[in-house]
Amino acid sequence: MSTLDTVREIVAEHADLPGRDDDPLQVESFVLVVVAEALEDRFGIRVAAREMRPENFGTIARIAAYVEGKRA
Amino acid sequence: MGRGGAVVLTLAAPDSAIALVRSDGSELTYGELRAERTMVASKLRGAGTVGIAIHDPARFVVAALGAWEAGAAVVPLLHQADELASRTRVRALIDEQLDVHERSGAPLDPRVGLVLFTSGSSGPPKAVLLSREGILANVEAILSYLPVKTFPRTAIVLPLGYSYALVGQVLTTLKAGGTLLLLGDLHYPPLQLEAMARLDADGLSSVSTSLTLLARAAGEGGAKPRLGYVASAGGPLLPATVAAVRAAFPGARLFNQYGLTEASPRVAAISDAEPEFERGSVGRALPGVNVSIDREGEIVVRGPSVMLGYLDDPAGTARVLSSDGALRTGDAGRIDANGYLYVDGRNDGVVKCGGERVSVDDVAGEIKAWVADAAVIAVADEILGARLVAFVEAGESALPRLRKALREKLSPAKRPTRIVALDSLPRRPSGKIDLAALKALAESKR
Repeated sequence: MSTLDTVREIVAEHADLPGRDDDPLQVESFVLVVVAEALEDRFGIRVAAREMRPENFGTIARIAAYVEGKRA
Repeated sequence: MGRGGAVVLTLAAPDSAIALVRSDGSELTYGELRAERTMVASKLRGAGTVGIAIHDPARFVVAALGAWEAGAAVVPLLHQADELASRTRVRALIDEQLDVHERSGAPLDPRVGLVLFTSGSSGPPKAVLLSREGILANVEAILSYLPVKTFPRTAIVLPLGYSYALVGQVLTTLKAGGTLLLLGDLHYPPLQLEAMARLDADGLSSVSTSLTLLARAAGEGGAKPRLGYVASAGGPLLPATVAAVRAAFPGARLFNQYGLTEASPRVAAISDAEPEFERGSVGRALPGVNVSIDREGEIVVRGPSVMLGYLDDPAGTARVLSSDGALRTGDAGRIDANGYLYVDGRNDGVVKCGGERVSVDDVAGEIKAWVADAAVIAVADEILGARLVAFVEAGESALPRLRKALREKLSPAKRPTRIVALDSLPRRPSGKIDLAALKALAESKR
């Protein structure tokens, strides 16, 4: 499964998926924390609080790019 | 005291002082705030109960103050405005443009100043009726310990429909002549932090989870506002929060506070200058508030700030409020010889997830509508305090539909962060679900 597919799957467990990967996500801070924890578990990365920004978490595509950047 | 009578929040700051600042930096002076408040009040005379369906935080504050000046009871309606307006018998609804829409409804008790929604230990959200006098008494009590006069630039990141934000921060800061930095529209902690630094915030109050994220972001090399104090409430002050705040804001005084919406809200508070802080106490009762422990070990609160009751729910009111005005909090606790209160949690299956009151049984009930059987376990979480894990008797394929249904019914904090599908739930010889086994399973993997 691609990073994008996995991110979509993780986000779908906690929030309504937007129509497209570039559409803005509805985030509450509780969901942000839970999604970040799930990303840490699934990808073996560490999500720092200062990285919880719209540039990294604003859309599905951005989360996938952020994860890829961390694993590179 | 009657409507429009003496119980009104006085704004003593000079006209030129800044009252409100939005996250984009736009400002409203006290002079402008007073003028707009009077303009809103003139549209609302005699309305009685006023619903505020406004998401712009500065306009929300203007509308609330205007409604109070008109002698109205204020109902913040940030979600499900129409449904909740009907339930609370709102007679005038103010929209984003500060236009007023008339509705019909029987008047509330004239003493009511604020109607706030809160999760009870079971059932749908309850509408808590708070009196103006009780609210203003609580504002004074908060100002007796929180150093808002010394550190007057208050950062607000919580929703304004919470008693914590509305009474504990908005009214308290305005009463002290301070400046409200309204940052709740910035949902991401690093953005809130950058706005706090840019706008010179020196006071911050939030729930423990939010404080942890803000302090960690600051400690990791993010923006660093010069905070004079950091205050936590809305659930236990988590060890991770204390560590992160001390590392990121070494000069800031740290406060732990205890309260509940039904007490307008603040009951007790403590700063880290007091040795009992390290022992986990939430402090001594505030001036005018009486705290005791009943025979069952439950914390009981008395005083002018105790709610008038739940709207249209005499049975629910009677369960927590005695005829002589004693409020049962649902929290177990102890008080030491010097009057310091310790909160020991609850025994009715209610936990705090990210600062929100969550009933494990209610969540299990929602899930059982969709699957053969289910059990919900609360597990400790470093950042959230607690989170829920659900075990359901269902196939994996049922989970997406279940998750979607729960998103429609439950707020994020109430939704299990993990749902595990099992062919059958483990049971004890008696046939009851083996909760101990499930707890071990829930904690084995996050």
